[in-house]
Amino acid sequence: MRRTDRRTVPASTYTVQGGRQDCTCVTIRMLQSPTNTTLPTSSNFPASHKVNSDHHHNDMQAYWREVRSIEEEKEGQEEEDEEERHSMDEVEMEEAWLKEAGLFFLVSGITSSEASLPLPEAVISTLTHQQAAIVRTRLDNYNETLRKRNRQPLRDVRDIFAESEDKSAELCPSSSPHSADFPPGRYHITTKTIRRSAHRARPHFVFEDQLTDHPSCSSLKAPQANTNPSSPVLSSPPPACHWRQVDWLLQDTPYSEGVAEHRHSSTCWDCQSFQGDLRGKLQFVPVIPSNGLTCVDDLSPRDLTRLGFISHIELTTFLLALGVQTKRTRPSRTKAQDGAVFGVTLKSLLESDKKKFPGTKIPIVFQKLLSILEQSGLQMEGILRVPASVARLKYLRKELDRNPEVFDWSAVRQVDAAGLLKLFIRELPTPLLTYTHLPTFSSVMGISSELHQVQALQLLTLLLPEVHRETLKALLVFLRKVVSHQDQNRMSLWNVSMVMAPNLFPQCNHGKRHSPAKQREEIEVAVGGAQLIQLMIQYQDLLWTVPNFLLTQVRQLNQASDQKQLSLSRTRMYLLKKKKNQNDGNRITKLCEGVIQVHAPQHTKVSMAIQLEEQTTAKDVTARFEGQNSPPQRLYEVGGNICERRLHPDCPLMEVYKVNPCCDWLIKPGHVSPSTSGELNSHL
Amino acid sequence: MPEQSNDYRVVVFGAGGVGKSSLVLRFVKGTFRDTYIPTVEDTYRQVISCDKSVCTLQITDTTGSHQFPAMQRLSISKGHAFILVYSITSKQSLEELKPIYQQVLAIKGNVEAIPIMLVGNKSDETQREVETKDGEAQANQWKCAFMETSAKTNHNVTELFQELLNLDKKRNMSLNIDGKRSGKQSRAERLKGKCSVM
Repeated sequence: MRRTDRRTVPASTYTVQGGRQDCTCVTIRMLQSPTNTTLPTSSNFPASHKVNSDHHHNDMQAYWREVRSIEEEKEGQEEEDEEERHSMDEVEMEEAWLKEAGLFFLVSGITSSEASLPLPEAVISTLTHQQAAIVRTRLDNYNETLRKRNRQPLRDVRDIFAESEDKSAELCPSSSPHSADFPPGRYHITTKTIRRSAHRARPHFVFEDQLTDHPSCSSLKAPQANTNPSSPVLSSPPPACHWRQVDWLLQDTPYSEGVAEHRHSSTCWDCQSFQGDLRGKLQFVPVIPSNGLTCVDDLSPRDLTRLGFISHIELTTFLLALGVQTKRTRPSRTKAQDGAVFGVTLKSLLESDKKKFPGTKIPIVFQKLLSILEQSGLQMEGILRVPASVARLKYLRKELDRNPEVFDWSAVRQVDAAGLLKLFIRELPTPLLTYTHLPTFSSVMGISSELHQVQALQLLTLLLPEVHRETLKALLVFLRKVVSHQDQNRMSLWNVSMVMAPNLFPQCNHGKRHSPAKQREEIEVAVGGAQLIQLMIQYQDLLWTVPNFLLTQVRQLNQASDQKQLSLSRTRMYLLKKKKNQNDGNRITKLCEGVIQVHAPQHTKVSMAIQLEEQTTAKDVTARFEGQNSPPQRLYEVGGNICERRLHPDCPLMEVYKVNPCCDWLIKPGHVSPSTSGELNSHL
Repeated sequence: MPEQSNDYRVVVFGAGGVGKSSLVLRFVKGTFRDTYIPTVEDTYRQVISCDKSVCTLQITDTTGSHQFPAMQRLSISKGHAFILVYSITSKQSLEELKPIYQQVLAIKGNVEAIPIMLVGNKSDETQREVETKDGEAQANQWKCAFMETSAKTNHNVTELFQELLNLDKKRNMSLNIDGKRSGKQSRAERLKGKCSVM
C-alpha cells in the first residue's frame, strides 16, 4: 500500500530530468578532454569505443537513459538509502573485516564449536608475509580503536604473531609498505605443510601469437621449472600480441605478490603488457589444457568457506599493494516487503524454492525470466535497452508478488521480462553484488590495469554468498548470449554493459543537483561500473575459476588446522586415528608408491587400484567405471588436505597425488545433490 | 570407505593373462571382451544371500604381475575365500600359483576351513598344456576344490562361485536371493535379515 501511495505522489520531474541532462553534458565534456585524469585512461577503454567521442556520447546516453527509467519507476520513493548506508565506525569495520577473514575468534574470544571454522592460528600460518602483515595491521587497528574507547582488547597482536617486535615492524606495511626487498621467505611462519615451492620466481607469462596455437602442457610447465628468482624475466620484451593467456591461474604466486612494483614504477610486468605498445583490444585466452584448474562449484562448502577467508585477506592485500582504497559501508537494513517475489532476499527465495526443487541453486523466478528472454528475446532489437511500459510492469509485478504459483507466464513479453528482470535485481534487499562487497567492486574500478581488475573480480566473486554467485553466473551467461546475437539485436558488449550497470551498481540521488565534484564522481562510477560489467561478461569463465595459489593456501590451512586440532584434543586424535585405520584406500596408497585406490560406492565395481602415470587423467579413471549407458561419472578428491574437490576430466592425477597424497578418490555422478555432499562432509 | 562387517570377500589370484578379470567380469556383468587390460586391483560387489539374509559378496580381482607384494598380502589377510586361476594352455601359470598358495598358507595359518578353489580357465582352448587330471592332482595335494572353466563360453562360471560359497561350512550362502523361494517368504526373510543387522 505504502509503495503505491508513493508512486502517486507527483514527483519533481524537472529536477530528475535536469539532473540527468547535466550529467550527460558533463559526460560529453569529460570524455572529450583526454587530459582529464579522473577518467579512466584511454587504454582501459574498449578499443571499439574510443574511435571518436560521438560513440561515447551515445554510449553514455544509454547509461543515463537507463538511470532515468529506473528513477521514473521508483519516483516518489523516499531516498532512505543515503542515511542507511553511512560509513561504518572503525571498530565495526575492523571487526567485520576480521570476521570475514575467518579470524572472528580473535575479536570475540569465543571458540567456535563448529568444526568447519579453522583456528585463527592455522589461518595465519597459511598466509604469505604480505598477507600476514595486512592481518597484523588490521588487528593492530582494531585493538587501538578499542583502547580509545577504554575497552580492553581481547588479544594482543603479539599473542598471535610470535615474531620479535622489530622484525614484524619491518613487515608492517605502515612503516615500509611495499619495499622492493621482500623478506627472504614468502611465508612468515614455517609450518610443516605441503609447501613445495615456497621460493618461486615472479610469474612468467606465456604469450601466444595466435589463438589457435595453444601451448602444450609442457610449454606451460617449462617456465615453472625455471625457479631461479634471479633470472630477469623482464630482460626480453614480450612479443607484441593481443592474446594473453590466463596462465596466472596456474601460478602458485598470490596476486598480491606480483604487484608491488606496479605501484612504484611502470615496471609492473602485468600492466606493461597492456599499456605498452599494444593499444588494441586485448583478449584473455583460456589456458589449454585446463587441467589442474578448479571451478568454484567443484569444491565442497567447507572448502569454499575457507577459500573465502584467504581470498578476503588476499584481496585486501592485493588492493593495498595496488594502492586502491576501499570504503566500507554498513550493511543496510533489509526493508520488509509484503510481496512474494520482489524485494525478497535471494536466500529466502531459494529456500522456499528448494522445498519444491531440492537441487535448485538459483531462485525459480529468476530462471523463469531468463528462460523467457532466451527463448524469444535474444533476437529482439534493443533487448534489455527498450523499456517496458511502467504501468504494465507495475501490474505484472503486483500479480507476481501476489502469487507466483498461479502467475500466467505466457502473457509476459520479452520487453516485460527484461523489465521484470532488471526490476528484480534492483529490488533485492541485499543487492546481487551484496552491500558488503559493493564498495570493493567500486574500488576495483580504480585499478588501472584490466588484468588486475579481472584478478580482483575473481577474488571478489569467491566472496559472494553461494546463491548470489550462482545467480550472477546465470545472469552473466545470459548477457553473453545477448551479446552473441548482436547482429540481430544490436546490443553490443558495451551496450549491454551500460544498460546493466545502473541495475547492478545502485546509485542514489541521481535526480538531485550536485556539486561538480560529485557529478564527476557519478560519471566515474557510471563509466567504471559499465566497464566492470563488460569485464565480467567477457571473462565470466575466469570468475568461477579458483586460482591455484588460493587452493594451495586452503590446503595448507586445512593441514595446519588439522595439526592444531590434533594437538588440542586427545580424544579427537584417537577418533581420527580410528577413522584412518578403517581407510583401505590410504593403506594401499601408502603401501605402493604411485598406486591409488578409487572407490565407487554406487557401482558394481566398488573399487579399483590404479598405477598412476604422468599422463593419467581423471577421465582415464572414470572411463573404467562407466558402462555403455550409465550417466557420466566424475572423479573426486576427498579428504587429506581438502574436504572435497571435483576433478576436471583432463586433470592429471599425478599432480593431485603429489599435493594431496593421503586423499581418497571417489567416483560419483557428475552432479552431486546437496544431501550427498552433506553426508560426505559429516562423514569426514 | 569403511568395510562392511557382513561382506564376504573372495580374492582371485593367478598369473598374468590367465583370465582372472574375464572370469570375474563374466560372473558380475555377464560380458566377455577379448582385449587385455592389465589389472592392478579391482573390487566388485554382488548381493547374495547368506544365512537366510542378504549380504554382499565382494570379489577382488588382483594383479597377475608381482609388482605389488604388499597389496597381495593385504588382500590375503582380508579375504575369506580364494580362487586360484591358471590357464590350461600354460603349465607355467599353474607353477606360478604355488608361491601364492604358500603365502595364503603362511598368512592364514590353517587353510582347512578356508574355501579355496583351483580353477583351470580357458577350457575352450584346444592347445592344452595342463590336463584336467594334473589340475585335480594339484587340488588334492592342496586339499582344495577344483574346476575347469571358460569365461569366453561362460562354462562353469556361475557354478564356480556357487561351489566356492558352498565350501564355506560356517555360513550358508547362495547366489540366488529370491530364486526358488516365493516372494512373500523372501520378503519376510529379508526383513528378518535387516533386524539381525540392526
